[in-house]
Amino acid sequence: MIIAQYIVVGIIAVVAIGWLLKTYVLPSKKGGNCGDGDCGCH
Amino acid sequence: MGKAINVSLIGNPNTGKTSLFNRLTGLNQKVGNYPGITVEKKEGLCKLSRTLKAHILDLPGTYSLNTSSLDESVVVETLLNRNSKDFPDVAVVVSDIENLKRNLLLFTQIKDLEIPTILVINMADRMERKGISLDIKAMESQLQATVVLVSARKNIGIENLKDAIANYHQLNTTPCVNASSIDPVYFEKLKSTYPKQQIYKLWLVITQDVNFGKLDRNRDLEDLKKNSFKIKSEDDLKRMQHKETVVRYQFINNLLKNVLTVNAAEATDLRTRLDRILIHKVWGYLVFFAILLLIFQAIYDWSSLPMEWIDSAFAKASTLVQNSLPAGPLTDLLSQGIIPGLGGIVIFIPQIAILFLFIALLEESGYMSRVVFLMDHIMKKFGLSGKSVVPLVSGTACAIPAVMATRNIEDWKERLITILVVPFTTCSARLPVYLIIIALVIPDQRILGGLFNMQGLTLMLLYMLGFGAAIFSAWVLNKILPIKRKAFFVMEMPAYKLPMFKNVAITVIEKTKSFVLGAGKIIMAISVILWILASYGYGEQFTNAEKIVTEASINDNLTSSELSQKIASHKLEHSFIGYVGKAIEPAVRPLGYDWKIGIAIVSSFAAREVFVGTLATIYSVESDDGEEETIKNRMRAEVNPILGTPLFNFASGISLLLFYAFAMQCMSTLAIVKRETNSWKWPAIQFSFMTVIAYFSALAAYQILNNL
Repeated sequence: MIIAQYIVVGIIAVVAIGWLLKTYVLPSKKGGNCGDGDCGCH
Repeated sequence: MGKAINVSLIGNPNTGKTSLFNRLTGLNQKVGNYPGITVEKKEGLCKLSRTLKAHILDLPGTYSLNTSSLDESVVVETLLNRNSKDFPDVAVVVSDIENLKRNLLLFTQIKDLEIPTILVINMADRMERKGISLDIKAMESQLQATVVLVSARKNIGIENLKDAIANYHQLNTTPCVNASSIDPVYFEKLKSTYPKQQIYKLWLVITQDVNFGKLDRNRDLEDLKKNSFKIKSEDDLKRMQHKETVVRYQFINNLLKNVLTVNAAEATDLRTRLDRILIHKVWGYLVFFAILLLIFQAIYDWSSLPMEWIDSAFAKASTLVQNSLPAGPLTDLLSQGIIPGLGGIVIFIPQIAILFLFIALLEESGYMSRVVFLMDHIMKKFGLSGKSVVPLVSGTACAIPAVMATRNIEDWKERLITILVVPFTTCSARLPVYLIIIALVIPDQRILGGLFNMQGLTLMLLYMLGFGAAIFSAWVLNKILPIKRKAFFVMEMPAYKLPMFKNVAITVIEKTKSFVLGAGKIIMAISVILWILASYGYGEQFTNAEKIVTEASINDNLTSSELSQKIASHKLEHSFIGYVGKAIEPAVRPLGYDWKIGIAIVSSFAAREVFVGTLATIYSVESDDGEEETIKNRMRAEVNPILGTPLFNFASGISLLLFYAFAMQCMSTLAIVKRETNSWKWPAIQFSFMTVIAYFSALAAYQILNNL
């Protein structure tokens, strides 16, 4: 059970780091303006 | 009956164009669609004289010939295509007496197409009530056009208009604005390439692609487009178009200065009476200030109860998860990382909703435009425009839409300064930081006979500090930026109206939802990473923390709860995050912070609201005692390890508030500033000067207050 929890935490951590990198580090392919509530700000 | 001429009725929306159409055509109307598109086409017949009738086409409402929609492109198509059966012999531009400035932009564009054009000023019956007088003769002479005053509603001036249309051969077709002055070399080349074409028509054909890619042209215009002066990029053409609008408004301003008089003292309608107070040079500011005060008091007073419920619900949820799920890292991550981190944001929903409620009410009622007008001459002194007020006020929600809202500021220098200073405004991401720190270091007392809450006043002062910093920085930038200014101010005051409940509700729900969902994602991600960094470490001190602390505390007579707290603190200090925090501690200690606050500051460089979530996660990991505790209580219990006093005291609290008031901690804003200025130079300058101001003001505040 503990091992399963470690695996899930590991997956969550990879997803979290991946999402942060994708949002803030890797260049966005999206063009145009971001005025429709999808600008990555809070 | 004799021949029929084509008359196009053109005008801005809500100028009474359709009422005039109905007056002219009566029941002789036909409604259909333009071929191939679902834009309504209204046509009718009007008898002008015994021998002449008019085929009247009511074109869709448009603000200018720079189209942005299918409806508007129909207007441009009709006016550019001389082979069309609808091409007008006479263009009747309908304007409204109260919005002449805006309406005349379209008129000058149509007049420059050298089509016989009549300017109709509708709603003339309101002139007396509004204290408006107009020198028609002078206006006709400066516009080189026929001007007719009408009231479609009261059937005044309609016969004069019919006479003017009937005499269309006598109408002057000379352009009133020289559009080629925006770039004489370019226009000269255009003219020499197409000597037989009308120059302003060519310009419109070329620029319509900038505005509206699918504008369908006839073959003649397509041919022009094939050689459409590729020497200019789309951006250059947009800039030229922008310049054209500025030139037109300069012409309109000069014209109206000479022909239009508005004597507000003579006006008797409600709008004017309200305006007398709301844009008064003394009362106007007092009312604005009183409204701000009301907003900030309401943010505290109305939200305290729901905030307590939310805080306690998240604390209960953490305990529930901890107690009901099997022990292990996932349970700890949920109960110590994700739930407290999210709780740190959800708790601010009531306050953010109240802020947006007031902003939506002010915008919906028409008051916000008065604020823009009121502030213009003050803003100008600081290198800003009256229009900068909208981005600055929008900045209280989020700097990103605020930076984008600067696009309607005509002058580049004013726009750039507004972009650079907008992030000083207190955005909603700062609100959680302010609220929690204020609650910790400012007493919850009422002053001035119980009228004002100290915490509410502090929040208002912080908002004013944000505006003050923005204004002062604008003044400095205005002095040092070597950019030439070409600004003037054009704005229309909308009529006052009762805010529509539906519109206000949608604004509040959408803005709050976007704050919570957007912030939720980043906080969730950062909470997970922080929890892992705070829960794991390396080396003897971390792996043997229990043994080391137990042995060291053997003579301290600690209860089991105190001992486990001490072990958790020791582990945290030697976790991965502990090492990072210790490394940055020397830089933040002079500001009154410990390494945990240092970590929260560093993680909140991504977005400010992460600060509270980070502290909630760090303190949850540290207080590993299973007790139900709120974030505020955990922060209140923190002790400065060197001084032994509460970590969040008045000096360190004010220092933190000042740091967050000035620091540029938002990656998304930097990205949007880069996009709007098309350079990394400006966001780099912005980030540097804001961070320097933040650090040194926080340092000064802590050092002064701590040594008092």
